Amino acid sequence: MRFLSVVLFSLATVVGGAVLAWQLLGDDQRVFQPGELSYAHHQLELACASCHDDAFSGNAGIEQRCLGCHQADMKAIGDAHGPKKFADPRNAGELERLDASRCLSCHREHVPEQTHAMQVTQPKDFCMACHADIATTRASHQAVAGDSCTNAGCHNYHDNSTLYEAFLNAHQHEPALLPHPQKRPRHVAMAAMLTPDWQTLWSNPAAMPAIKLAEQDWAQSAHAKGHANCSDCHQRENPNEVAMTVCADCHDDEWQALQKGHHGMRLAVGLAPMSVSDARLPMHADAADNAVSCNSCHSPHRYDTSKAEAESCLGCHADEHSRNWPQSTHGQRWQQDPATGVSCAGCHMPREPHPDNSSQWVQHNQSANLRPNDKMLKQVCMRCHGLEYALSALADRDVIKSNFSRPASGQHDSMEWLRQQARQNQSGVATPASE
Amino acid sequence: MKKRWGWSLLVVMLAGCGKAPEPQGISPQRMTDTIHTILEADRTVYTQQVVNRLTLDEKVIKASEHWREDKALVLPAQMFRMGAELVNEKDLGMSYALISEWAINKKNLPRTDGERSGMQALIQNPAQPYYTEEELGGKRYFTAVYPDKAIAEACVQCHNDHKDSPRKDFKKGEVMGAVVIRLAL
Repeated sequence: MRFLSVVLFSLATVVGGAVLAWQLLGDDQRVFQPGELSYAHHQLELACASCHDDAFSGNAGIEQRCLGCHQADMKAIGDAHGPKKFADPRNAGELERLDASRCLSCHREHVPEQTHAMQVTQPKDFCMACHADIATTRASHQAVAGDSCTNAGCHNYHDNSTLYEAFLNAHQHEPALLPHPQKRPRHVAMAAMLTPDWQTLWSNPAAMPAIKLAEQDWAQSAHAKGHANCSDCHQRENPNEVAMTVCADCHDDEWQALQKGHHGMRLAVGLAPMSVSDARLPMHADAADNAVSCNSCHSPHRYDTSKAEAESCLGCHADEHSRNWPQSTHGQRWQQDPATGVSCAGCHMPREPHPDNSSQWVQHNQSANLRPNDKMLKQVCMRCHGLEYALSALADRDVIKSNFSRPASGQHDSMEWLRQQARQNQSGVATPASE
Repeated sequence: MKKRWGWSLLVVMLAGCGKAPEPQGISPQRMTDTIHTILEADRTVYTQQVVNRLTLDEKVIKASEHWREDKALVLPAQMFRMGAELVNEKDLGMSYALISEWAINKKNLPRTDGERSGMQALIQNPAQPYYTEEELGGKRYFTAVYPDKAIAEACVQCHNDHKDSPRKDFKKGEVMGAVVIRLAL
């Protein structure tokens, strides 16, 4: 009996070990997760090495992985609470209360029950660790709850570039809809028309009808206007397969941006592209097998941005906000006239001035202006709407769910505080010096 | 017994080798004085020859707290802090900061005992820098506090006009704050 137990135990150990080893060496290592990853990172959960590059480097190694993906963006926005803000020893007392110089102090993973908005794992009033005196230094904040600092329209922890008093005051009393909306038009640089060179790639007569059709579409695209001939994308060895890296050869900015958002972040760490079935947002069941690629949004030959602006998005996304878009004012206007209406991409992949030069580009990181959503104000909302109306809309979850079909209140506490302050200053009512 | 006598002799011999060696190199105070001289010179040039000249004398550009958004010059205090942050990234064991008893941003009020004592000492006697040692975050630092004076009209105007400034009567040449330099010991 004892011999049998030893044999069974050994067998179970060997089989169990083999199963775990198979999982560890396989493409899906989720079985090793101590807890679910946050919404921001769940795309990476297939491979532990996405964050745990070196099993022996501990939290310092994980911090390096955080910086590997986020440091450039943090630098670009001038991180208001970056590590260099805390490096001076005079901050030692505050760092003892909350070590804000490390990513993991506020953003722990695998603890879904402790994870709040923006993947923060500190108590919601974490700002009070360093700003507990705010009620005494700013009279307007006396009745403000300590867990409401980052409500839309107030403060952003890392990117404070949008919301500050002078900016809010400069946009007081704007109408809900500006008299002269200024949606950025599409801009594509054109060059001399190319002559198609498909003859060197395909000789199979059976393929001719499809190739002729593709040529017709291509001839209408920007690619034909001097940018890309057939052989620039299709290789002679396997002409029907075009990798995303081929697109990236010319569209590197878009490729880099794609890898920073939910659509492409798996590609950034060497994983297979995201599949729709892996998404946490509600998606259409019949799109479950779709995987993200350039062509999943863009028609490969017909450079039809209307497909990429809405049709492609709605082919997968089935959440309430997305489903309400076709009937919304934004959606209705876009379907009548894309030049003035607002598509999915109009907000989530907007046309922006390129950060490195004066040209215009399309932001391909659809998460960029949602962290938090008031980052959308300057580049998107305020092209057409007054600031306070837009702030109030972005702060109202029900308005967002309705895809802005429900009217926003048009009033926001931050703006009202500043108006009160102005009135007090005008009437000479004494206010605390800091106000 | 013989062995113990030998050890005693060795201890006596070593004890008699002379005084403890004199510290070598530059003293912390001379080091911070030198660093301050450089910081003060650069700060003076930027404030007088760039900000004050271009904003008040020639009126060709403005300086703004929101310089990126406003396409404006960086304020002298921001310039100073940006440099301090870059130095912090080098992790040299040396840091510097700008503080004030009348800080616009309350995070720049004197915060440590050394800063509070130093700021008060400079208000009483701006001619004499203040030196002390502090323990912060479990490490010891040599801390030097130097006066930061209004060296241009732009300094005075900006602080006196700022809505968050707790003091509105600065005059050119007065102490507006202090530069704190720390060396890890």
